[in-house]
Amino acid sequence: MEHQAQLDPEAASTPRVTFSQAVSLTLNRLTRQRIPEPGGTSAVELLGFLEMPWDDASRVVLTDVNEGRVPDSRNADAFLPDSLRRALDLPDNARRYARAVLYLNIVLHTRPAGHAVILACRHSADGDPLVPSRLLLACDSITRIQRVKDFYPKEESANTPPSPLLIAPGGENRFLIPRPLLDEPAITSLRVTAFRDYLACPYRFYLKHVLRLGTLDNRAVEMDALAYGNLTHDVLEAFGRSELIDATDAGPIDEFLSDTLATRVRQKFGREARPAVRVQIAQLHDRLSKFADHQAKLSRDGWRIRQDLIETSLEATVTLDGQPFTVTGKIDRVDQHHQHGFRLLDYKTSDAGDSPSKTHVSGGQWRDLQLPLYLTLVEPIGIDNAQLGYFTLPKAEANAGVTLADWDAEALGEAMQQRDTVIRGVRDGVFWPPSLEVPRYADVLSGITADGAMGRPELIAQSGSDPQNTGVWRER
Amino acid sequence: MPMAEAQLLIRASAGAGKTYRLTQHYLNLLRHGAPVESILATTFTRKAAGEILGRLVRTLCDEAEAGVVPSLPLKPSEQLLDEVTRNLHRMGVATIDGFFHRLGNGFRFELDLPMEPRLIEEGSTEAAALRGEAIEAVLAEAATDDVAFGALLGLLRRLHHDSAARSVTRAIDDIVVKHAEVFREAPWEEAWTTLSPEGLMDNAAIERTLVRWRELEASIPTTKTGKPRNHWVNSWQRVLDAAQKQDWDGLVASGLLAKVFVGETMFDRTSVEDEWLVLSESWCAHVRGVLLERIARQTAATHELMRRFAVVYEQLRAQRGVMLYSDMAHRLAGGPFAGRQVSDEQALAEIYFRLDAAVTHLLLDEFQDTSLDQWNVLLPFVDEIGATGDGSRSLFVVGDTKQAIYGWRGGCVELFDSVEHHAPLIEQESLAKSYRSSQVVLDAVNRVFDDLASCPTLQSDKHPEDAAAAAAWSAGFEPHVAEHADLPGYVVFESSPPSDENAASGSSEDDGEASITPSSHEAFVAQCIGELHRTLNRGDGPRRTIGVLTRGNKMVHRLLYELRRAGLPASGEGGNPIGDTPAVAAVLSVVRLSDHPGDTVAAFHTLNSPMADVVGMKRRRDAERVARQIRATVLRDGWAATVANWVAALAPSCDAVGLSKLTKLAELAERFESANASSSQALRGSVLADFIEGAKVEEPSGSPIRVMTIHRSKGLEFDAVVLPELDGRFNNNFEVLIDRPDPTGPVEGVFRGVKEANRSIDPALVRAYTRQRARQRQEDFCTLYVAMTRAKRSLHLIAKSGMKADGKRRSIGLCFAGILRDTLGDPDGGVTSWGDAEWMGPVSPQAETPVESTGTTDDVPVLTACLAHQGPAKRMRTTVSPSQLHGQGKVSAQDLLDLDSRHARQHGTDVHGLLEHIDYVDGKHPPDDSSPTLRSLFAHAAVRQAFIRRFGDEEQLWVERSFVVPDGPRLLKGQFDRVVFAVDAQGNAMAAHLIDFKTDRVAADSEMLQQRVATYRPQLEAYRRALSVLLKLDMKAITAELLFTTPGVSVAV
Repeated sequence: MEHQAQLDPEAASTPRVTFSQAVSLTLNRLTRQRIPEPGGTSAVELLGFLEMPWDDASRVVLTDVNEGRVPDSRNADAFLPDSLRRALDLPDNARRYARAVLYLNIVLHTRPAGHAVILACRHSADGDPLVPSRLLLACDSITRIQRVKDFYPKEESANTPPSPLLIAPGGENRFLIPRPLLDEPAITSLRVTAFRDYLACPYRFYLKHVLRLGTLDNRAVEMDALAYGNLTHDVLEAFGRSELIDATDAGPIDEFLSDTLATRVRQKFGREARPAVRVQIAQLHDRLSKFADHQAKLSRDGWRIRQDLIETSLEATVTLDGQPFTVTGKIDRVDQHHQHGFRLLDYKTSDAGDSPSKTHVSGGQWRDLQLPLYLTLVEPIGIDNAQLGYFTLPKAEANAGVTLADWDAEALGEAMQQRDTVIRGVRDGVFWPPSLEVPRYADVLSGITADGAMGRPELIAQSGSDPQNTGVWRER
Repeated sequence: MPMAEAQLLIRASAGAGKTYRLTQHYLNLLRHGAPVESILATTFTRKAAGEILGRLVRTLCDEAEAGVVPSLPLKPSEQLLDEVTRNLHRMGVATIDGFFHRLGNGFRFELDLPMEPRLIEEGSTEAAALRGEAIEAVLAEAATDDVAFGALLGLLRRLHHDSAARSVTRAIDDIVVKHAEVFREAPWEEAWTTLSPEGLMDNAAIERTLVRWRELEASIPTTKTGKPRNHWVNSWQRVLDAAQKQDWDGLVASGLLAKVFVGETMFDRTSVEDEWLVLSESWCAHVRGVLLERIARQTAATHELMRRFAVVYEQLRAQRGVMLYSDMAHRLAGGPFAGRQVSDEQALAEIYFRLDAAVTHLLLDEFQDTSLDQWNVLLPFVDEIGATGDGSRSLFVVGDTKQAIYGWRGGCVELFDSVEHHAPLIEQESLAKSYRSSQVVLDAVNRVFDDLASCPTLQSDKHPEDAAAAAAWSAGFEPHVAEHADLPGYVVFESSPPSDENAASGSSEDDGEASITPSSHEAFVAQCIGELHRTLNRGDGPRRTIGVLTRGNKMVHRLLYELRRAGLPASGEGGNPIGDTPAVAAVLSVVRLSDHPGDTVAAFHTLNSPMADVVGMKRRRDAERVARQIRATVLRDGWAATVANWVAALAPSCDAVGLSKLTKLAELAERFESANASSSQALRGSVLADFIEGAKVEEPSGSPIRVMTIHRSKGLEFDAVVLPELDGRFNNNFEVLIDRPDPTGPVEGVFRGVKEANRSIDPALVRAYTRQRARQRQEDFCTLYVAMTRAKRSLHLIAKSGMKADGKRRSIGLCFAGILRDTLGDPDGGVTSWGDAEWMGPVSPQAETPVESTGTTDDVPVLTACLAHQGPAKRMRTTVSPSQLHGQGKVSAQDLLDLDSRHARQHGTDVHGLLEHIDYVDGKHPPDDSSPTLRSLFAHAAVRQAFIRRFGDEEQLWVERSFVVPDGPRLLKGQFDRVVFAVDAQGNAMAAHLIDFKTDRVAADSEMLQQRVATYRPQLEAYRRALSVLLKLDMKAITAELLFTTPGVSVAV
């Protein structure tokens, strides 16, 4: 403010501002100012070594009294190596050392014995070994030998005690996995894609499908798997609704897909998509071309897409233990052949292009029920004995096309049993305890479900038995 | 001063005391009078460098204490200790990177280096982020025009075998990381374009050949019974299909074409007729051309991408002032050190000048890990030493070719042989006696490595290079002997129970599975480790360490997970992530919430954890407000302070382990803040949360069970070693083949994307592959050697069962387990063991206490406040002036608002200025120089009275004297207007009188005057106290008066 006061109001160079501008200018300058905290408080003050001599604190702790820090030294240099500095009488290592000696002595001699503590660490925070300061070894030979022995013990103990805490812990861990609060009406319907989540972990299912928790991130530079899949589905859905649905020539299909993709991309990303997204789109373009080839061939082979069922919301009622339960879902496409009957197909855009068996069953266990549940979905509309499969559009174009599942009646029977298990669990509100199996890669829920926690089974048991521990969320 | 063993190269075995020898050599140099700055000792890790320096100093210290005085002219230890401790800052015991950094600083301008470069690891998140930016810039640059963009797309397609991966950035990152090393070594295009596809047919020619090939169906050779020979039919059909589909992969790898391709004229015991031969040769030539062209295109595309990327990446690094660790060696090797000769004395002199020391003694540790770039930088020094035979300079090289496991990072074990070339006088020695391990462990090592080449596992007609590599490896192996022959030990080779999973173990890692299922092998291993821990660490004795060493990071994670689930205190090398701890996870959720109040995962987690109370979140809809408050707090205090405050508030909700993790979290936040001080991005919660989740924290409590990769275990030792990952097949698929005829010479050819089936199409590819495979095998052997030799007392080898769940044998294949089964026996029939399982000896019964089963019972001490604050702070006195004390610190509003006050102040200053120049007057007349103002002042008797001597001739006078004196907790700072005092013969003050001039416009005898006197009283009291301190005078002997100059009234106070 004094600076401002010194401005010459008559000078031409002094800017003219309105009163409000002057106020905001002043405030702006003031908010950016930092002032040291007033001394004399009870807080421990942290100062640099070079400021120590001027501090009158009665007790001082000098940390980092290690070679290279106190004193620091510089040897190699492009123009002024240390010996040249000395020759030119420029500040050199010797002078730095002398200054450190002086300051250390000031600190030590202006306080009663025992009021200054010197810390020289053996290791840095990263575990790298450190060297004691020359200052500490500039002493008589007996003291020096003792100090070296203290700093470099013969056998460094393998059992370093854990670093002490500065605050006392309460004693019991209160960070639990919040148990489901079952105050919702019972769930009576479920999408076919959600069964997988319940099989994997009922608790995660609860977080994801009952509470509908989700995360946000705005730092993506390109489409993730979900966005990529959705864009592809959008374009293919448009194809399914178009007049080209039965075309036997790849050309027009390709053209249609290409145009649709261009339109969708403009709607989604505007005219200036990020470069990585543009590359992705160009590559998706190639995958769609491959689709056009395969689609035309399917048409030539006599397969027809049921246009009336394209992305139609289907639902079927499963009566279990005398109670109805609704299974809902959409099937990407239903293909029909005059000889071979029906195919219920799902578009898959993952890079690997895994087969249905690989994605649905692992270790002899059903992990996903999506395709088998398609059979449940189409029952009410009179389709039975349909084949199940993926229309894959993977990274390797050679592997694109329809991949059918090879489950026999027995396997499908097991899948239906799993379906019933899930329905019973969901209906009865069985969402606890969390599964002991955790996803291989931590996901957004891993923090809540304590996937990597030490002694997780005990934590789950504690979370389950604590009456206070119910997760609140919905407000009524 | 000359000395023996001036040039020495030692090939040492594991645990043979390399560091000891190096330290002794160093000391010897010192004793002979070498100045510390002339000795340079380099190694690879800061830990090792610190260990060497520590040993040096400690050894000198022990010798000095023992009074060791060697015969003259050698220097006594005490003197050396004195010299060394004085010159710690000049000692050149450093990592090779550290030394290069110093060199680089000296040549910063020639090398165009940033001023104070920050060195980062290739694998760090910072480097990854920087690569991400560079990739986006490369893409953006290409995206500016359609032609360039099309070219880029083509490039990316070719990079991926004509397929398009979804994640563009990651795919490119993958490529640039994999090729960084080879591109750095061979950036020139020539090395990437050595293949010249020839013999290609155009479509018309293919058609013509196809027609003729169809006609051959009639002439397929027949068996004695007249049936067409099966192999011929198959081969004919295969070629037909392939030609029609133009799918040439693997066509010349088997069948008729394979024979013709290598120039044979017999197939399936039948000679190949002319027409068959001619057509087959055409096909072979074409296939070769097609495949070569594909490889050539892909390789060239890779080079092009690397070139574009390298330019941008380097610019970015320069802009940010960042360097990679490997940058420095490369810059130096390509810069002032390129092509330097010993005769180039000027150059060396320059180097020595800038280093401020001449390196005349060079000690190179872990030499097998030295890269070509690093060697090239060291060469001028080596050459100079090598050329001197008088012992005034020395070279000491130590390493173990059997521990060369850093080939992938550029380590070049063949450099051992070139040392001799540069220093012909060097003597060689080998050390095979182990000071580390029990003979039982060493016996197992000997059994495995003594005759590797005869392992059936390594015999292969197709790949004789495996056995050849083994033979070469074993040739350099001397049987290991333990220094302490009677040290008991134990080795066990066992296998986990058979399981379904074993059937699939032949294929590579099973990435497909979405979740970690406790596989039987890992569960078995965890169980074994648990038992081992309970056996070794029962009782109160010192804890014994268990090193669990794996081949890959994936196994580290799985085992850590498995061990933690079982409540075993295990830690990963380089530390563990702390985000797994529930308390830390809850804090991270709040941190994320601050960024995105709509993040319902974070909001739910916050609301249902003790963090809710800390941040005042009572219900879901508070998220917005809480997030805003946190952002405001962070903007004001920064993350470090904010997180630290949270941690303090959370302490009551934690157990000791949780709180110690939270403490680490606070430290990490501090580190994050100081590293990102200038980045506005660092204010974002997501950025901090990502940093915390990626960071690893070393646990100082030092868990006895440490899980790490074999590579990270180098240089470490453990009481017991567990090797749980023996069945992973060796890598024989090299995405990039590098043709380097001379292992220490330049790269001559780079080939990318050569499928195994197509390798035989060109001799250059075969040659490159064979060499690379042999090299890889050597490194595999080294890895197993390093793993086994980490054990001091016991070694536990746990393989997967050789049986499938259905009882059938499975193939073991080319892996550690295969070699161990060949050399140590089959573990499937039962445990195979050597030595004494109870090597640790009995535990005294009273000392036996149960080993803690979970890490949570670890006692973490709480630091009590020993520097507790008592009473008011006795430092940083606040300074006050006496005038601030008048009115008890209050200022009257009238004074402040008095529009005349400016004028009044000026008047006061003028009056003081006038009176300042007057010592004494005679009491009747005004002073000589009488301005009107002065005359009017001195018209008052009271004023005249103030300038008359009070204490006779011995009176002393202070006018406008400044002072600073302590006054209780404060410093009193001010100025006396006028003080007179009497002194005795010794100069001590006897009595004093103080006058303070006041220029207030008050009337004599007015009420106002009385008020003023009351107001000024504290000020005058302060003056008296100050005077009392200054003159060491009792307060009673000090009188004071206020002299109001306007009415001319004096008031004694």
